[in-house]
Amino acid sequence: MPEALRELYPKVTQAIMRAENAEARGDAVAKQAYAEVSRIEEEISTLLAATSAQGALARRGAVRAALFAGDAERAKQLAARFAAEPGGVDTLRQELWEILENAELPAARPASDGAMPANISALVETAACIFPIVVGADDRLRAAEPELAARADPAVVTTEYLDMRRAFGDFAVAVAARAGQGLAGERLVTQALALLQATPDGVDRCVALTLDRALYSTCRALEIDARVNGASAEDRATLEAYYARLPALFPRLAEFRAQREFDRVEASSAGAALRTPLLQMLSRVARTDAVIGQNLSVDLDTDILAFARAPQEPPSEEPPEQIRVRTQEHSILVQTAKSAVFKLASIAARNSPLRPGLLQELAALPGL
Amino acid sequence: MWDLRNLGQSYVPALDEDSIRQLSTKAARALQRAGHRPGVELPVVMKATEKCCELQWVEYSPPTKKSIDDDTNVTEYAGMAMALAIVHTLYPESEWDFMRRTVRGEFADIVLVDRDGEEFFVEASAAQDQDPSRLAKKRAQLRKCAASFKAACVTEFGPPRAAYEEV
Repeated sequence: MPEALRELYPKVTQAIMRAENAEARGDAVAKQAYAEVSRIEEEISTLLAATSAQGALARRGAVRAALFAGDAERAKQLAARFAAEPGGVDTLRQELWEILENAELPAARPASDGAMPANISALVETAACIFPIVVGADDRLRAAEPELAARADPAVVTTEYLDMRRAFGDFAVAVAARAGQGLAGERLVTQALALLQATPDGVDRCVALTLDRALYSTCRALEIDARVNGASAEDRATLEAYYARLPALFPRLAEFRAQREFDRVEASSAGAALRTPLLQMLSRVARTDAVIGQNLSVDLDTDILAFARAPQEPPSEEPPEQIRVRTQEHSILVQTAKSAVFKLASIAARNSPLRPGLLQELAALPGL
Repeated sequence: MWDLRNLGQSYVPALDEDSIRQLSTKAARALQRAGHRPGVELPVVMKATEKCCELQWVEYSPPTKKSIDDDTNVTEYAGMAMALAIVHTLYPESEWDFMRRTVRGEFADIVLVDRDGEEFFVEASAAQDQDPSRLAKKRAQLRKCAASFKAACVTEFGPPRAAYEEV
């Protein structure tokens, strides 16, 4: 070990313990102590490559300590510098990014007796802090929840959103780690990554409808993978819970979903007889391994769902304009479904025991 | 017998005097706070086996002039002291010495190093009460650490019990 490191390691240990003790006492010098820790960690980082375990540790430590010192600007600068180091590793970059994103605010830590820290009011007032206020999983700020809940603060929404993004990130990593068993698994990985990409870094840049669709599609991919590979039911339940939570973050999404449900009026019994063979056919095709393997299954499932829910006959009490729109919509749905069947038929026929002649029967159905 | 009185000299000579004093004192306080006296038996579970050791320490009595840090981080630092003692006992020949404490939020609390420069990341956790899930949580935390040699050590003070597992 280089001589300089021999001197710096005891120094950083002492500085960290000083900072921790000061912080536990609620002493204002804690910030200065953490600033010193950050400085020493930075010095250590200059002596070690980012690729070494100790080098990475020092870099993370420098960024974390700067945050604990309340110096978010320095933390960001350090993280940016470390991330840009030649030969740096992606894992470290990701960790540095997560440190910034998950930044704790030690000043807001509740006192050991459970009382609200004196500076919590200031924290709640200071919406200008660059990091989201973490509410929920972290007990440190639980005491602040009533105050946070009382105000319509974009920071809270941002927090909820970032919490969700982290959950999707964890989900994607978990899926990627255990998938790979067959095409359904690959499909799930692709969908999980698409979900992650559909979840931008902040609410402002989020396209809610894109996220909504990605989340919905991932739930469907999980459903298929569950059938083929026995994917985790817990993952699906978690994602579905997020799907249910999403409109709380994006009120306009709630309106969109409500409209979509309204549009999907149950089919009338008169049309059911015509629709059943097509739906059966679609369902069967969608579940063949070949279709799943072509990454087409989820799209086809979506078509089936839309078709099944589409109004067979417009309600008579609707104004003429709406009847026209619904008729057009129905026609489009039928055509889409029919087109999907024929597009997939050749793939499906090679790989699954479809009843001979089914396609011809289907094509001959009246009204299609 | 594990002797917390000689934590520094015997186990981690590279750790500075003030840090040693803090760890030893806080370990004594945590043990006494749970109603124990020097000589108490501490079972350590390591995978399927259990090893029992007698613990010795200098009894803590509130000094007339307390250090400002005497009352802070008692359980946490006591956990670190216990982890150092346990590692030393499990690897008496390897001479793991103290390298550094890490900033809160890291995968491990302390890093040890041997004569050959091999590093050993140790996550130490302690609590007054039992929590069967604690070791699993610490294990999961350490799995994210890229280091090749790492272990989690969880100590509960009342009743005294420790669990150690390499990850």
